[in-house]
Amino acid sequence: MVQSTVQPGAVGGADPSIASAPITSEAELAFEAGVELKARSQWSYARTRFFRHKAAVVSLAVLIFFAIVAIFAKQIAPYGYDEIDLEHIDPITGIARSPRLDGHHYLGTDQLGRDYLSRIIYGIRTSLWVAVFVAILATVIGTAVGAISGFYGGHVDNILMRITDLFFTVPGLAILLVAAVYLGSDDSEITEINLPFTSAAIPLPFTIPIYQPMKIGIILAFLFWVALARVVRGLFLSLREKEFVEAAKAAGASDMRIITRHILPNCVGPIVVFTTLIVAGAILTEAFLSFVGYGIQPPNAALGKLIVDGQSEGFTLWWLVVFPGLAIFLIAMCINFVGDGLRDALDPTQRRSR
Amino acid sequence: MLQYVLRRLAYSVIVLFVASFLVFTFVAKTGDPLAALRLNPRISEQSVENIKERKHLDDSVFVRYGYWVNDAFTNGFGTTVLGDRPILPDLWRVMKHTLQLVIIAELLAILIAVGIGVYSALRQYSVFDYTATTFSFMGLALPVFWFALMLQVGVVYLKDWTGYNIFPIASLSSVDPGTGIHFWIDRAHHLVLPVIVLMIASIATYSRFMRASMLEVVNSDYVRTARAKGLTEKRVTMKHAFRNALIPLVTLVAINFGALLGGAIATEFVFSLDGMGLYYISALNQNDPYPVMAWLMVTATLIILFNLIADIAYGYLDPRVRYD
Repeated sequence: MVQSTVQPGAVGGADPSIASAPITSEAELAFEAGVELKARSQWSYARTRFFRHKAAVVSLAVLIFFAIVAIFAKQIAPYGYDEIDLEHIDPITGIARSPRLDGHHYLGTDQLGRDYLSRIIYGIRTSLWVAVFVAILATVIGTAVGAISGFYGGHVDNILMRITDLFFTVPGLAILLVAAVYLGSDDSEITEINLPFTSAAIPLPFTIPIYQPMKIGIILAFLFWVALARVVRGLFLSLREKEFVEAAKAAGASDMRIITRHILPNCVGPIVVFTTLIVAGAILTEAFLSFVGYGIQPPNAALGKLIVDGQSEGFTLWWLVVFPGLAIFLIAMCINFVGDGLRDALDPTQRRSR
Repeated sequence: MLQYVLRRLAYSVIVLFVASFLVFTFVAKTGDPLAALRLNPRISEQSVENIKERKHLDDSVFVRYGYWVNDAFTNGFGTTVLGDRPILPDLWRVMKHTLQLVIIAELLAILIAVGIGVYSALRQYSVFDYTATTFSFMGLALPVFWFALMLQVGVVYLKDWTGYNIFPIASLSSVDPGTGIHFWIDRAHHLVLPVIVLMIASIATYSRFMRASMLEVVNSDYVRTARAKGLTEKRVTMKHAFRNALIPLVTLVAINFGALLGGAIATEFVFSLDGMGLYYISALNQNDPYPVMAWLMVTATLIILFNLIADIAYGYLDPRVRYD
């Protein structure tokens, strides 16, 4: 028996010798032809294509490693984030100890004698947390706005697209900085809602705690959803004219159902690819914000903040600048490679440009 | 065409007004630009009050925005809260510096990226192509400010090691730069590291773009026709393919250039170059809405203009594009 995999729909022209019998399914047809048909879903094809992309697979492994380190930071980090160790002082540089492989402080310590490896691990934890938060928020907003805009068109589309125009005109980083200053730099609680441009406020019956990195995440998401909304809108504009949408409409499906069950599944590929780009962008931007001093504030750990703290003496204590930046660089690069792999896997219609 | 441009411009004016009002509100509500003065024991309560009075800091945001619009149109964006410095001359000065940096970096980046992109496309899947692709992925993932710091660290360590300082690691000029040709040599020396930093990100983007665009053209019908006619390979690539592959890049470069004129914020910040980006950050640090707004208006206008230039250039270079 010949073992082969046949893509659904590929077995179009049947052998004339067996065409006389009424054939109902592809499986039957394949059986008649002596081929064992192994059903494979779109996801299975996508997985195969993804695993063919070596760099993406390696990157995914590295990312999973970083994610595990981030999630179990408390268990993995050899020292606490703010723990000062004055027992292993460097004879040459003093309290800040250069990296060496003798079992204590593999990446050295900072000016106050705090283990740098632990600080970086906690930094990665915050950075990844923010990036994932941004990606989820921006993807949800961008997809929703793009979908509504592309599906309904008309005035809704006009208004939403004018809003995105606003974002494209005004330099994004500038807005980010202003918003970061505006939202403040502490962990805080929302107890009331201020009405814009007045001093009136509506008290809330409960308090919403706001973790400071979350503020940065909200600001970044606010910046990143725009481009995704444009992409999704474009997809919806072309897909809503397709026959299967017309069929769904004729069958009496509601708009909501057409959007979520018929069109959206066809947009998953580009959306996922774009989301990975958002994650990488969020990590780089957050690091820069923290570096300039408008991002994540102590006591929360942040890689960008580590770099700027190390910079003051970084020209003599090189490891303080090198390692946190290297972590950012590695994470961003791996995400980009995974994104590239996902593009190959989920978007087979797009010409492979690698 | 003219109608299209006019419509875009009219629309941009509205966008600018909305953006300016929103940003003004944010900055005005954020903090107190006089906080530093209040902490200074040598400055009396009365003089702080005077500044407050003169700058209308106690009025509502709407009124203050009105004063700002008035200043922006009649008074060259007004003066700063602290020190009453006129904003426009400062803005021109930093703009000149940013222009020097950005123009040099972008020109070099375009030259290098076009070379890499075209060669990668012509030798697709070669070792060179894979290397270039890997490097551009690295370039895109590189945190710009960190790369700048790494260069500085490298130069400092090299100095410790060899005793010779190859590049200055900060500012635009030496303390005593001299005049004429000496001044410009000194300036060029100071700009080497910032230009490298700025170039890397641009090269990574442009070369990927150029490669994709060149690949598309090389596989198109008219290039096959050109080959079929028996033209030399050189003529086919240079005259037929290359020229058309450049068109999309023009758009990208124009848009990117417009955005960079607002200051390569990260690069200028790390190298403390007295350019637009650093100007913006320091204005923001002082919570002073006026310079922040002036910067924003100039930058946003430039972005709008360069987007328009990109569109027009595209229509000019590619006659298939029509505006409606």
